[in-house]
Amino acid sequence: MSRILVVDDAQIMRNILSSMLEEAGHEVVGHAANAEEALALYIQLKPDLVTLDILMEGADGVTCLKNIIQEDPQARVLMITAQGHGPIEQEARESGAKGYIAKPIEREQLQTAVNQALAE
Amino acid sequence: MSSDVQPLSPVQAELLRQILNQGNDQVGGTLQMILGQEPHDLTVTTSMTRLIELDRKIPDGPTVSVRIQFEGDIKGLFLLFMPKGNPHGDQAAFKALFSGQSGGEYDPASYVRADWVQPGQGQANTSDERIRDTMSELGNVLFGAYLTALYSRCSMATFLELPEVLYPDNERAYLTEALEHYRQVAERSFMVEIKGLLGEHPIHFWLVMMAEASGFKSMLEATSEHPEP
Repeated sequence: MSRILVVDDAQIMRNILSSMLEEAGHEVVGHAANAEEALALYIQLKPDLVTLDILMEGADGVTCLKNIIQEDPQARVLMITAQGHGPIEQEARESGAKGYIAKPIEREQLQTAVNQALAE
Repeated sequence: MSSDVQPLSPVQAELLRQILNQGNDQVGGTLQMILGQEPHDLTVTTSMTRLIELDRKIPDGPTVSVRIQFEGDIKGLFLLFMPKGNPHGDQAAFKALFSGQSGGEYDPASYVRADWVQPGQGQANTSDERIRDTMSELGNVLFGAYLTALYSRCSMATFLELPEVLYPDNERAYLTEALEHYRQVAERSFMVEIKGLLGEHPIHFWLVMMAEASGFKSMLEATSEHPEP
């Protein structure tokens, strides 16, 4: 079981992701709705993995990713977005993301991506 | 604005169909993810419509409306409309979507778990906030799928802006504003009508996509350069 921080500006997505992760046996230790909350909770909770939405109000997910990696270069972050296309994915990976999932998310797809990110 | 709309070549029409179909393929999965149950008898119908005809194709009456602009290789606008009901009350699907699907009253306690550590921002604490939150995400995921398809077929990169939600939209304000702006810069729009059942409740949405004519022309040129999907 891994401790996971869920970051998404849409509460319904935070809840959906949390339900899927808990069904897969993980512990969701926190929710954040924006980049500032995410960094603060990352420092406080030191989760094993962060699921991070890219399109958020204020600082976007890639900026948030860079801040988390700056805080902890070993951080495992799985990016989640409604737009699964090359330039966004490339920027996320170059910034240190361990994986990338396009919505809509299916349970098996999420579980596979989480396991891969945790295994790195 | 010319009233003449340049006809599509067979290759362009086919690749546009493939882009739209690839986006349409995500509708069922998106609804299932957002709504927590699989819709059935789902039909997704796509049509290309002149902007001047759009106004009469979207039904009158109050809606929940979502507006998302996109930027990048093509600039444009997505609109999502879900009829709220009629003057006598909300439609059954609307209640089903936003009352926990059990028909009961919205309970914030069931939506926010105390054991998820949260600093407190971005929480949907009221029914209205939950509707806006849900519809924003629904629009975000649905429209993201079409832009993903556009990239995979044409290598054109676009980026969604943050969704805006108008609830209720009694005067079709988003549509009126969009037509006011886009009839200056666009000729066509694409309309996707989604119908189905959520449990025993009918659900009905309209998606509208408008792109500036210059970007649309670039897309057609790009599709001509990428005959193979």
